[in-house]
Amino acid sequence: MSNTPILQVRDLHVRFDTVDGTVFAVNGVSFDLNRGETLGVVGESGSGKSVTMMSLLRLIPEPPGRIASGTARFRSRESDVDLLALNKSERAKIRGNRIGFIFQDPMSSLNPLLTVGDQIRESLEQHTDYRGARSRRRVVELLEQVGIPDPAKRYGNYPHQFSGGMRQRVMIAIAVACDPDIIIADEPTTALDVTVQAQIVDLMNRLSREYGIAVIWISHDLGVVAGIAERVMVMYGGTVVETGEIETVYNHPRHPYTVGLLGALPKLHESVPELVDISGTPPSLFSSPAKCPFEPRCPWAFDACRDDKPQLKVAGAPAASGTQHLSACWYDLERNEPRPEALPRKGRTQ
Amino acid sequence: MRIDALDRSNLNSPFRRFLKIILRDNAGLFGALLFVALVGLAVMAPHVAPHDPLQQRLGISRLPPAWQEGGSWEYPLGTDNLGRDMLSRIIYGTRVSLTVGFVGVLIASSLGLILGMIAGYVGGRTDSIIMGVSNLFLAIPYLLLVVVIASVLGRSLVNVILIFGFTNAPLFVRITRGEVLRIRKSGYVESAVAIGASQRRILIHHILPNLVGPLLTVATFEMSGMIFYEAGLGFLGLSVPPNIPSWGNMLSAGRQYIQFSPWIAAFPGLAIVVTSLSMNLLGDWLRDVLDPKIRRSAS
Repeated sequence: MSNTPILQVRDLHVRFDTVDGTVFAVNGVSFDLNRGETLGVVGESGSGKSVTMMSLLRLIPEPPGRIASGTARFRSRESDVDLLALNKSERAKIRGNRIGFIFQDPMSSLNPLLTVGDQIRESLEQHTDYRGARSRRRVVELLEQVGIPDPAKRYGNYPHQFSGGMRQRVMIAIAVACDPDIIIADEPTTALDVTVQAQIVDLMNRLSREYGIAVIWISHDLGVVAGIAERVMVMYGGTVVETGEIETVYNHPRHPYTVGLLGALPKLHESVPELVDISGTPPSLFSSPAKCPFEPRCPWAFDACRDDKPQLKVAGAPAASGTQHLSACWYDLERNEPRPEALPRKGRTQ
Repeated sequence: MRIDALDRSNLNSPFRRFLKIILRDNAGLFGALLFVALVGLAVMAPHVAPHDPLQQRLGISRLPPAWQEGGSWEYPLGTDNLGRDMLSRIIYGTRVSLTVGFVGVLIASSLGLILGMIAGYVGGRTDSIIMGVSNLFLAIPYLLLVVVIASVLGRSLVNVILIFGFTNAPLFVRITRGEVLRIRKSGYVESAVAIGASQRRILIHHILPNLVGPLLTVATFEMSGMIFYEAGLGFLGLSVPPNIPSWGNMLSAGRQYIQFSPWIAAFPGLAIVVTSLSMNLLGDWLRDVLDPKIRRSAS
């Protein structure tokens, strides 16, 4: 039981039906989340990283959003369910209770008319039997755990009396209030300045260790992800292009997009005359990708990339922990030649 | 300095904060006091008014105010064309004006709040229908609409209140709907959904409280607007029956004597100006009190 992943997402497809046509936002995403681990999800805007995670608990606007297919098996202490097959009330019982959320903008995520204490209480009382003075005490405890000084007094403060970093701490307190199994953090540090970012990362690391909470950390900041995640999943054009242990992926990237991302990352200890960008623009998601989404921008692209969409394949030796290193690419960057399975299919296409 | 020290120790005392904001904002204080005084006058009219507002004394008709030549302190603001005491009539007139303003706004805002919330939250065809009808009403020139309805329904206090209540509802519908749409998209509603809050809880706990501020501000301005329009209808002879002393009726009666006895029209006019001023000041002030962000700047 303890070795089975807490969350197994398989072949998730999410679409948005807009006036201009159907947007294929998530195209067959599959991944596992182990108990207590922190999974970093990186990718540029529009890569589908947020939509993937938000759609697990149907937090995307529907319509225009639509979960076309997929399963998300969630095995918590008390249940073993497919998140995508839940009805409304079952979903409400998991939201904020078993799976907590932290959003990007702490400035607007708190109701300006309610005190921060009451907002944490709202989540707590929604799912637990804490009430009255007992729940107030618990909230003060939570405020203390997320590092709010003088928590008893701060309980009655309004959000505008808190700085951005403090508000994000309150959001974290709301997310951990019911002792969830998973926290999905959607770019929680993007709106904060760098020193505060580091504090929030530390806090999340500590809470996730203390309570054994699995964290999905969505970010476009590779540096932040390196500081918090054990495993990383790189997304592009609504698909997972590479996944593996963070050090493996950062030191031996096997997907051209990851290579590009890392090349565009400034490093402190190396002086690089110029950062290398990835040429071209992110893909239009209006057509269902029957080919590799990165193909138009990829310097290694060849016929196979245009003919068929590559699936995640083993791209290198597994890490010491046993974590697989997978990449969805027809080209073997290590050997600098097309993968063997990409060649014969060239002959097969009519 | 001393007030600052007090603040910090009492950040959470709503009453102290309330007091502090009143005392800080002089205009708001003035408006609030004036409003309280007007309400007091309306409630206590029979005890405050020196004379029966309806009693005619034709022998002393068009008596000038006390400070003018020929005036008497028995009738401080003089008498009208039928010898009725101006002061008493003005005091009683407060009742009509405030009742029309208050109940009218209550009807308009409740109606607007309910319909606006439905339109904004349900959306789709319901939204289209509610907004279509609202916009239809808003497209008709307001005074024309009110005059036509009033002349069809006839003169009575209830009619006047209902007319203002219903014809002003579309404005509240629009404002409520717009606010609901804005609040629905806000981060805190998104967060509330993410912690598993029910729709009812989101509506009552997150959307409704955030509607109160903007709506209350509009309501006070609308109240002063209704008092204005009530006086306008009275002037046209379409408001309450002439046997009820109202500022509009008094204005109307004073019109033909304005050259020689200007006070008959001037005092009700002044009363209307003062009342609407007090409400506008009160509205500004309420908006500040209800916004925690501005509340902070008071400390």
